[in-house]
Amino acid sequence: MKTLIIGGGVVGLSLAYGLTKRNEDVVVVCGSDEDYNASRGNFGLIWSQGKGLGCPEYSQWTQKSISLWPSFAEELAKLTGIDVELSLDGGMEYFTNKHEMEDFIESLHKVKKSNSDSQTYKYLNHEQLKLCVPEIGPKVVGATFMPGDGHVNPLQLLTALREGVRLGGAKIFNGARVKRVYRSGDLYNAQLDDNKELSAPRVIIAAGLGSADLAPMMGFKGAVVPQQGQLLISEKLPQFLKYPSGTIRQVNDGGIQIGGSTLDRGLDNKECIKTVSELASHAVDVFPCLEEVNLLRSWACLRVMTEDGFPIYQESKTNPGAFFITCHSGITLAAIHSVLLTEWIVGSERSPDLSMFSEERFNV
Amino acid sequence: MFERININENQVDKLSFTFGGKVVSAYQGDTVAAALLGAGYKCFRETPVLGLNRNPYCMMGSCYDCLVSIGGRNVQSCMVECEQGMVVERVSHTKLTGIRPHEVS
Repeated sequence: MKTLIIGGGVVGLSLAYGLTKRNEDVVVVCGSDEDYNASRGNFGLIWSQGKGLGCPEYSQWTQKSISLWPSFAEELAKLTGIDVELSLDGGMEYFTNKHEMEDFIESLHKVKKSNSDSQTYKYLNHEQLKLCVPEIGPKVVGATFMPGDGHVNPLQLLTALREGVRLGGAKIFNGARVKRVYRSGDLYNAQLDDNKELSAPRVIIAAGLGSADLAPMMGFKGAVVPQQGQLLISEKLPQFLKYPSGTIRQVNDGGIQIGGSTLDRGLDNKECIKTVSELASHAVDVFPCLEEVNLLRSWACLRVMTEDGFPIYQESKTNPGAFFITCHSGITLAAIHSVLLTEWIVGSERSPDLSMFSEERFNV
Repeated sequence: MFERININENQVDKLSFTFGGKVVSAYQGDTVAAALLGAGYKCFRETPVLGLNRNPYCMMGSCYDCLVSIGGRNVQSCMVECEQGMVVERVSHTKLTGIRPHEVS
Protein backbone atom coordinates (compact mmCIF):
# COMPACT_ATOMS: atom_id res chain seq x y z
CA MET A 1 0.00 0.00 0.00
CA LYS A 2 1.31 3.43 -0.86
CA THR A 3 2.21 5.56 2.15
CA LEU A 4 2.59 9.32 2.27
CA ILE A 5 4.84 10.44 5.11
CA ILE A 6 4.64 14.08 6.10
CA GLY A 7 7.93 14.85 7.79
CA GLY A 8 11.44 14.14 6.55
CA GLY A 9 13.16 14.16 9.92
CA VAL A 10 14.55 11.14 11.73
CA VAL A 11 11.09 10.00 12.88
CA GLY A 12 9.47 10.15 9.44
CA LEU A 13 12.52 8.69 7.72
CA SER A 14 12.87 5.80 10.20
CA LEU A 15 9.33 4.78 9.28
CA ALA A 16 10.00 5.38 5.59
CA TYR A 17 13.09 3.19 5.90
CA GLY A 18 11.15 0.41 7.63
CA LEU A 19 8.38 0.57 5.03
CA THR A 20 10.75 0.49 2.03
CA LYS A 21 12.43 -2.57 3.56
CA ARG A 22 9.03 -4.20 3.39
CA ASN A 23 8.85 -3.17 -0.28
CA GLU A 24 6.12 -0.68 0.40
CA ASP A 25 5.63 2.27 -1.89
CA VAL A 26 6.66 5.39 0.04
CA VAL A 27 6.61 9.14 -0.57
CA VAL A 28 8.25 11.44 1.99
CA VAL A 29 7.44 15.13 2.10
CA CYS A 30 10.29 17.02 3.73
CA GLY A 31 9.81 20.65 4.77
CA SER A 32 12.16 23.55 4.30
CA ASP A 33 15.49 24.50 5.87
CA GLU A 34 13.66 27.27 7.72
CA ASP A 35 11.59 24.76 9.67
CA TYR A 36 12.55 23.91 13.26
CA ASN A 37 14.17 20.62 12.22
CA ALA A 38 14.86 18.91 15.55
CA SER A 39 16.67 16.22 13.55
CA ARG A 40 19.38 18.68 12.61
CA GLY A 41 20.01 20.34 15.94
CA ASN A 42 19.86 17.57 18.52
CA PHE A 43 22.46 16.11 20.85
CA GLY A 44 22.65 12.62 19.35
CA LEU A 45 22.20 10.54 22.48
CA ILE A 46 20.92 7.00 22.49
CA TRP A 47 19.66 7.05 25.99
CA SER A 48 17.61 5.10 28.48
CA GLN A 49 18.97 6.60 31.68
CA GLY A 50 16.25 8.47 33.54
CA LYS A 51 13.54 7.71 31.01
CA GLY A 52 10.27 5.95 31.71
CA LEU A 53 9.37 7.15 35.19
CA GLY A 54 5.63 6.49 35.44
CA CYS A 55 5.57 4.53 32.19
CA PRO A 56 7.32 1.15 32.29
CA GLU A 57 6.24 0.51 28.70
CA TYR A 58 8.30 3.51 27.59
CA SER A 59 11.28 2.20 29.51
CA GLN A 60 10.88 -1.20 27.81
CA TRP A 61 10.35 0.35 24.38
CA THR A 62 13.48 2.48 24.80
CA GLN A 63 15.54 -0.47 26.00
CA LYS A 64 14.36 -2.59 23.12
CA SER A 65 15.29 0.10 20.63
CA ILE A 66 18.80 0.39 22.08
CA SER A 67 19.20 -3.37 21.74
CA LEU A 68 18.22 -3.08 18.06
CA TRP A 69 20.63 -0.20 17.39
CA PRO A 70 23.82 -2.17 16.57
CA SER A 71 22.15 -4.16 13.79
CA PHE A 72 20.29 -1.05 12.59
CA ALA A 73 23.56 0.90 12.29
CA GLU A 74 25.30 -1.99 10.60
CA GLU A 75 22.49 -2.41 8.11
CA LEU A 76 22.51 1.32 7.28
CA ALA A 77 26.29 1.22 6.77
CA LYS A 78 26.05 -1.80 4.51
CA LEU A 79 23.28 -0.29 2.43
CA THR A 80 24.47 3.31 2.20
CA GLY A 81 28.18 3.22 3.01
CA ILE A 82 27.55 5.82 5.73
CA ASP A 83 28.94 5.21 9.19
CA VAL A 84 26.62 6.76 11.77
CA GLU A 85 29.40 6.60 14.38
CA LEU A 86 27.43 4.54 16.87
CA SER A 87 28.96 3.94 20.27
CA LEU A 88 27.14 2.23 23.13
CA ASP A 89 29.80 2.05 25.83
CA GLY A 90 27.46 3.31 28.52
CA GLY A 91 26.26 6.74 29.60
CA MET A 92 27.14 8.87 32.63
CA GLU A 93 25.16 11.55 34.38
CA TYR A 94 27.51 13.80 36.35
CA PHE A 95 26.27 15.69 39.37
CA THR A 96 27.59 18.73 41.17
CA ASN A 97 24.59 18.89 43.48
CA LYS A 98 24.03 16.14 46.01
CA HIS A 99 20.26 16.57 46.30
CA GLU A 100 19.77 16.53 42.56
CA MET A 101 21.81 13.35 42.44
CA GLU A 102 19.79 11.68 45.20
CA ASP A 103 16.51 12.58 43.49
CA PHE A 104 17.81 11.22 40.20
CA ILE A 105 18.98 7.96 41.78
CA GLU A 106 15.54 7.62 43.36
CA SER A 107 13.91 7.96 39.94
CA LEU A 108 16.33 5.42 38.40
CA HIS A 109 15.47 3.06 41.22
CA LYS A 110 11.74 3.45 40.55
CA VAL A 111 12.17 2.87 36.81
CA LYS A 112 14.25 -0.23 37.46
CA LYS A 113 11.61 -1.53 39.88
CA SER A 114 8.84 -0.98 37.34
CA ASN A 115 10.79 -2.59 34.49
CA SER A 116 13.04 -5.40 35.62
CA ASP A 117 14.30 -5.82 32.04
CA SER A 118 15.94 -2.41 32.07
CA GLN A 119 19.69 -2.18 32.42
CA THR A 120 20.96 -1.93 35.98
CA TYR A 121 22.32 1.52 36.72
CA LYS A 122 25.39 2.04 38.84
CA TYR A 123 26.06 4.83 41.28
CA LEU A 124 29.64 6.02 41.53
CA ASN A 125 30.80 8.35 44.28
CA HIS A 126 33.53 10.89 43.53
CA GLU A 127 36.39 8.50 44.33
CA GLN A 128 34.94 5.59 42.36
CA LEU A 129 34.17 7.89 39.45
CA LYS A 130 37.69 9.34 39.46
CA LEU A 131 39.03 5.84 38.73
CA CYS A 132 36.90 5.54 35.58
CA VAL A 133 36.95 9.18 34.48
CA PRO A 134 40.12 10.77 35.90
CA GLU A 135 39.38 14.18 34.35
CA ILE A 136 36.45 15.04 36.67
CA GLY A 137 36.77 18.12 38.82
CA PRO A 138 36.45 18.47 42.63
CA LYS A 139 32.90 19.86 42.37
CA VAL A 140 31.57 16.57 40.99
CA VAL A 141 29.84 14.74 43.84
CA GLY A 142 29.23 11.56 41.86
CA ALA A 143 27.67 10.07 38.78
CA THR A 144 25.19 7.49 37.71
CA PHE A 145 26.19 5.10 34.96
CA MET A 146 23.89 3.20 32.62
CA PRO A 147 25.52 0.37 30.67
CA GLY A 148 24.47 0.17 27.04
CA ASP A 149 23.55 3.84 26.61
CA GLY A 150 25.60 5.85 24.14
CA HIS A 151 25.50 8.19 21.20
CA VAL A 152 25.56 8.53 17.47
CA ASN A 153 26.35 11.26 14.95
CA PRO A 154 22.80 12.56 14.41
CA LEU A 155 23.59 14.30 11.10
CA GLN A 156 25.19 11.16 9.71
CA LEU A 157 22.09 9.27 10.82
CA LEU A 158 19.83 11.71 8.99
CA THR A 159 21.99 11.44 5.86
CA ALA A 160 22.12 7.64 6.04
CA LEU A 161 18.36 7.38 6.49
CA ARG A 162 17.71 9.68 3.54
CA GLU A 163 20.08 7.67 1.39
CA GLY A 164 18.67 4.35 2.62
CA VAL A 165 15.12 5.46 1.92
CA ARG A 166 16.09 6.70 -1.54
CA LEU A 167 17.87 3.43 -2.33
CA GLY A 168 14.78 1.61 -1.11
CA GLY A 169 12.84 3.24 -3.92
CA ALA A 170 11.02 5.96 -1.99
CA LYS A 171 10.53 9.40 -3.41
CA ILE A 172 11.56 12.32 -1.18
CA PHE A 173 10.18 15.78 -1.90
CA ASN A 174 12.52 18.41 -0.44
CA GLY A 175 11.66 21.96 0.54
CA ALA A 176 8.02 20.98 0.29
CA ARG A 177 5.80 22.32 3.02
CA VAL A 178 2.42 20.78 3.49
CA LYS A 179 -0.24 23.39 4.14
CA ARG A 180 -3.26 21.13 4.19
CA VAL A 181 -4.07 17.44 4.68
CA TYR A 182 -7.52 16.15 3.82
CA ARG A 183 -9.36 13.00 2.94
CA SER A 184 -11.27 12.35 -0.23
CA GLY A 185 -12.88 8.95 -0.30
CA ASP A 186 -10.23 6.31 0.34
CA LEU A 187 -7.33 8.65 -0.30
CA TYR A 188 -5.47 11.12 1.88
CA ASN A 189 -4.21 14.22 0.15
CA ALA A 190 -1.44 16.59 1.10
CA GLN A 191 -1.55 19.98 -0.50
CA LEU A 192 1.87 21.63 -0.74
CA ASP A 193 2.75 25.32 -0.59
CA ASP A 194 2.89 25.44 -4.39
CA ASN A 195 -0.57 23.80 -4.51
CA LYS A 196 0.85 20.54 -5.84
CA GLU A 197 -1.08 17.61 -4.37
CA LEU A 198 0.18 14.21 -3.29
CA SER A 199 -2.14 11.41 -2.31
CA ALA A 200 -2.07 7.90 -0.89
CA PRO A 201 -4.39 5.51 0.94
CA ARG A 202 -2.15 5.76 4.03
CA VAL A 203 -0.77 8.95 5.53
CA ILE A 204 1.65 9.33 8.44
CA ILE A 205 1.95 12.74 10.05
CA ALA A 206 5.42 12.88 11.62
CA ALA A 207 6.13 16.55 11.14
CA GLY A 208 7.60 17.37 14.53
CA LEU A 209 6.32 20.75 15.72
CA GLY A 210 4.58 21.12 12.37
CA SER A 211 2.20 18.38 13.50
CA ALA A 212 0.52 20.84 15.85
CA ASP A 213 -1.15 22.37 12.77
CA LEU A 214 -1.34 19.32 10.51
CA ALA A 215 -2.48 16.53 12.86
CA PRO A 216 -5.76 18.28 13.86
CA MET A 217 -6.71 18.41 10.16
CA MET A 218 -7.01 14.62 10.35
CA GLY A 219 -8.90 14.70 13.65
CA PHE A 220 -5.95 14.20 15.98
CA LYS A 221 -5.35 16.41 18.99
CA GLY A 222 -1.78 16.89 17.81
CA ALA A 223 -0.67 18.17 21.19
CA VAL A 224 3.04 18.86 20.73
CA VAL A 225 4.88 21.76 22.32
CA PRO A 226 8.37 23.12 21.80
CA GLN A 227 10.99 22.96 24.52
CA GLN A 228 14.15 24.84 23.71
CA GLY A 229 17.58 23.34 24.23
CA GLN A 230 20.85 25.15 23.61
CA LEU A 231 24.02 23.46 22.45
CA LEU A 232 27.71 24.32 22.19
CA ILE A 233 30.54 22.68 20.31
CA SER A 234 34.20 23.16 21.13
CA GLU A 235 37.32 23.00 19.06
CA LYS A 236 38.52 19.48 18.44
CA LEU A 237 40.48 17.71 21.14
CA PRO A 238 42.19 14.35 21.36
CA GLN A 239 39.69 11.64 22.30
CA PHE A 240 39.48 11.44 26.09
CA LEU A 241 35.78 11.15 26.93
CA LYS A 242 34.65 7.60 26.53
CA TYR A 243 31.25 8.00 28.16
CA PRO A 244 28.75 10.58 26.91
CA SER A 245 26.52 12.28 29.45
CA GLY A 246 23.21 14.07 29.09
CA THR A 247 25.13 17.35 29.04
CA ILE A 248 28.63 16.63 27.73
CA ARG A 249 29.85 14.30 25.02
CA GLN A 250 32.86 14.11 22.77
CA VAL A 251 31.99 13.65 19.12
CA ASN A 252 33.92 11.44 16.76
CA ASP A 253 36.17 14.13 15.32
CA GLY A 254 37.13 15.36 18.79
CA GLY A 255 34.82 18.32 19.48
CA ILE A 256 33.15 18.53 22.88
CA GLN A 257 29.41 19.01 22.57
CA ILE A 258 27.68 20.58 25.55
CA GLY A 259 23.93 20.86 26.02
CA GLY A 260 21.00 19.89 28.13
CA SER A 261 19.30 23.22 28.84
CA THR A 262 15.51 23.13 28.93
CA LEU A 263 13.67 26.39 28.41
CA ASP A 264 10.08 27.25 27.66
CA ARG A 265 10.51 29.90 24.99
CA GLY A 266 7.73 29.06 22.57
CA LEU A 267 9.03 28.90 19.02
CA ASP A 268 12.12 31.00 19.75
CA ASN A 269 15.12 29.03 18.54
CA LYS A 270 17.86 31.55 19.28
CA GLU A 271 20.50 30.87 21.87
CA CYS A 272 21.29 33.42 24.58
CA ILE A 273 24.51 34.35 26.38
CA LYS A 274 23.07 33.56 29.82
CA THR A 275 22.21 29.95 29.00
CA VAL A 276 25.33 29.38 26.91
CA SER A 277 27.51 30.53 29.80
CA GLU A 278 25.60 28.40 32.32
CA LEU A 279 26.09 25.34 30.12
CA ALA A 280 29.77 26.12 29.65
CA SER A 281 30.37 26.67 33.34
CA HIS A 282 28.65 23.40 34.26
CA ALA A 283 30.89 21.62 31.76
CA VAL A 284 33.98 23.24 33.31
CA ASP A 285 32.77 22.23 36.79
CA VAL A 286 32.60 18.64 35.60
CA PHE A 287 35.78 18.76 33.50
CA PRO A 288 38.08 21.61 34.59
CA CYS A 289 40.41 20.74 31.69
CA LEU A 290 37.80 22.32 29.38
CA GLU A 291 38.34 25.78 30.85
CA GLU A 292 40.96 26.82 28.29
CA VAL A 293 39.20 25.14 25.39
CA ASN A 294 37.61 27.35 22.74
CA LEU A 295 33.98 27.10 21.79
CA LEU A 296 33.38 27.15 18.06
CA ARG A 297 29.66 27.50 17.76
CA SER A 298 26.45 27.58 19.72
CA TRP A 299 22.90 27.03 18.59
CA ALA A 300 19.45 26.37 19.91
CA CYS A 301 16.98 23.77 18.80
CA LEU A 302 13.42 22.94 19.77
CA ARG A 303 12.55 19.59 21.28
CA VAL A 304 9.21 18.19 20.21
CA MET A 305 7.49 17.43 23.51
CA THR A 306 4.24 15.81 24.46
CA GLU A 307 2.53 16.69 27.72
CA ASP A 308 3.98 13.69 29.57
CA GLY A 309 7.17 13.36 27.53
CA PHE A 310 6.24 9.94 26.11
CA PRO A 311 5.65 9.21 22.42
CA ILE A 312 2.30 9.41 20.69
CA TYR A 313 1.50 6.59 18.27
CA GLN A 314 -2.06 7.02 17.11
CA GLU A 315 -4.12 5.79 14.23
CA SER A 316 -7.18 7.89 13.57
CA LYS A 317 -10.47 6.33 14.66
CA THR A 318 -12.45 8.20 12.04
CA ASN A 319 -9.85 8.17 9.26
CA PRO A 320 -8.39 4.65 9.13
CA GLY A 321 -4.96 4.62 7.56
CA ALA A 322 -4.14 8.07 8.93
CA PHE A 323 -1.45 8.05 11.62
CA PHE A 324 0.01 10.65 13.94
CA ILE A 325 3.49 9.82 15.20
CA THR A 326 5.60 11.97 17.47
CA CYS A 327 8.22 11.58 20.18
CA HIS A 328 10.99 13.47 21.88
CA SER A 329 13.57 10.73 21.39
CA GLY A 330 13.65 10.20 17.65
CA ILE A 331 17.33 9.21 17.70
CA THR A 332 17.08 6.63 20.50
CA LEU A 333 13.89 5.22 19.00
CA ALA A 334 14.99 5.28 15.34
CA ALA A 335 15.94 1.59 15.44
CA ILE A 336 12.65 0.36 16.86
CA HIS A 337 10.63 2.76 14.71
CA SER A 338 12.17 1.18 11.62
CA VAL A 339 11.16 -2.29 12.81
CA LEU A 340 8.34 -2.65 15.33
CA LEU A 341 6.59 0.67 14.79
CA THR A 342 6.59 -0.12 11.07
CA GLU A 343 4.99 -3.50 11.84
CA TRP A 344 2.34 -1.68 13.85
CA ILE A 345 1.66 0.77 11.02
CA VAL A 346 1.13 -2.01 8.49
CA GLY A 347 -0.76 -4.11 11.03
CA SER A 348 1.36 -7.24 10.62
CA GLU A 349 1.18 -10.26 12.90
CA ARG A 350 4.33 -8.94 14.65
CA SER A 351 2.61 -5.67 15.49
CA PRO A 352 3.26 -4.67 19.13
CA ASP A 353 0.57 -3.42 21.49
CA LEU A 354 1.09 0.34 21.57
CA SER A 355 -2.24 1.29 23.12
CA MET A 356 -0.53 2.99 26.06
CA PHE A 357 1.01 5.47 23.61
CA SER A 358 -2.34 6.52 22.25
CA GLU A 359 -3.38 10.20 22.37
CA GLU A 360 -6.39 9.10 24.36
CA ARG A 361 -4.33 9.12 27.54
CA PHE A 362 -4.66 12.93 27.49
CA ASN A 363 -8.47 12.75 27.62
CA VAL A 364 -8.87 13.00 31.39
CA MET B 1 53.15 28.74 -3.29
CA PHE B 2 51.66 32.16 -2.44
CA GLU B 3 53.00 35.40 -3.85
CA ARG B 4 52.33 38.98 -2.86
CA ILE B 5 50.77 41.12 -5.54
CA ASN B 6 51.12 44.84 -6.26
CA ILE B 7 53.43 45.46 -3.35
CA ASN B 8 55.57 48.54 -3.28
CA GLU B 9 58.39 47.43 -1.01
CA ASN B 10 59.08 51.03 0.01
CA GLN B 11 55.61 51.70 1.30
CA VAL B 12 55.06 48.82 3.73
CA ASP B 13 56.44 48.27 7.19
CA LYS B 14 58.06 44.94 7.74
CA LEU B 15 58.09 43.04 10.99
CA SER B 16 59.00 39.63 12.24
CA PHE B 17 57.59 37.10 14.66
CA THR B 18 58.32 33.48 15.51
CA PHE B 19 56.33 30.36 14.70
CA GLY B 20 57.40 27.28 16.58
CA GLY B 21 60.65 29.08 17.39
CA LYS B 22 61.49 29.95 13.78
CA VAL B 23 61.59 33.55 12.63
CA VAL B 24 58.95 34.52 10.09
CA SER B 25 58.94 37.89 8.35
CA ALA B 26 55.69 39.66 7.56
CA TYR B 27 54.25 42.98 6.48
CA GLN B 28 52.29 45.23 8.74
CA GLY B 29 48.64 44.38 8.30
CA ASP B 30 49.21 40.71 7.49
CA THR B 31 47.21 38.21 9.44
CA VAL B 32 49.30 35.48 11.03
CA ALA B 33 47.75 32.98 8.61
CA ALA B 34 48.63 35.11 5.57
CA ALA B 35 52.19 35.62 6.81
CA LEU B 36 52.68 31.89 7.45
CA LEU B 37 51.26 30.97 4.05
CA GLY B 38 53.48 33.67 2.50
CA ALA B 39 56.45 32.11 4.26
CA GLY B 40 55.63 28.77 2.67
CA TYR B 41 54.16 26.83 5.59
CA LYS B 42 52.03 24.00 4.23
CA CYS B 43 50.94 22.49 7.53
CA PHE B 44 49.96 24.68 10.47
CA ARG B 45 48.79 21.87 12.70
CA GLU B 46 47.67 18.27 12.88
CA THR B 47 44.13 17.21 13.74
CA PRO B 48 43.90 15.96 17.32
CA VAL B 49 42.18 12.64 16.63
CA LEU B 50 43.55 11.36 13.32
CA GLY B 51 46.73 13.45 13.11
CA LEU B 52 45.97 14.76 9.60
CA ASN B 53 47.71 17.88 8.29
CA ARG B 54 45.77 21.12 8.29
CA ASN B 55 46.35 24.62 6.99
CA PRO B 56 43.97 27.53 6.37
CA TYR B 57 40.93 26.80 4.31
CA CYS B 58 38.51 29.72 4.54
CA MET B 59 40.75 32.64 5.68
CA MET B 60 37.70 34.36 7.12
CA GLY B 61 37.23 32.97 10.61
CA SER B 62 34.82 30.22 9.86
CA CYS B 63 36.57 26.89 9.38
CA TYR B 64 39.00 26.78 12.33
CA ASP B 65 41.54 24.86 10.28
CA CYS B 66 44.22 27.54 10.73
CA LEU B 67 44.48 27.23 14.53
CA VAL B 68 47.75 28.22 16.19
CA SER B 69 48.61 28.94 19.79
CA ILE B 70 49.26 32.54 20.86
CA GLY B 71 49.70 33.48 24.50
CA GLY B 72 48.73 29.95 25.54
CA ARG B 73 45.41 29.99 23.72
CA ASN B 74 44.38 28.32 20.52
CA VAL B 75 43.28 31.01 18.11
CA GLN B 76 42.37 31.26 14.45
CA SER B 77 45.51 32.64 12.80
CA CYS B 78 43.46 34.18 10.00
CA MET B 79 41.79 36.47 12.53
CA VAL B 80 44.92 37.78 14.27
CA GLU B 81 47.07 40.57 12.89
CA CYS B 82 50.85 40.09 13.11
CA GLU B 83 52.75 42.10 15.67
CA GLN B 84 56.48 42.63 15.90
CA GLY B 85 58.06 40.00 18.15
CA MET B 86 54.87 37.98 18.52
CA VAL B 87 55.44 34.41 19.71
CA VAL B 88 53.26 31.96 17.81
CA GLU B 89 53.35 28.27 18.65
CA ARG B 90 51.80 25.24 17.09
CA VAL B 91 48.62 24.18 18.88
CA SER B 92 49.09 21.67 21.58
CA HIS B 93 46.68 19.59 23.59
CA THR B 94 49.24 18.32 26.07
CA LYS B 95 46.86 18.78 28.99
CA LEU B 96 44.52 16.26 27.46
CA THR B 97 46.75 13.83 25.64
CA GLY B 98 47.80 10.53 27.09
CA ILE B 99 44.73 10.17 29.28
CA ARG B 100 43.05 6.90 28.54
CA PRO B 101 39.53 6.17 29.73
CA HIS B 102 39.07 3.35 32.16
CA GLU B 103 36.29 0.80 32.26
CA VAL B 104 33.50 1.31 34.74
CA SER B 105 33.89 -1.59 37.13
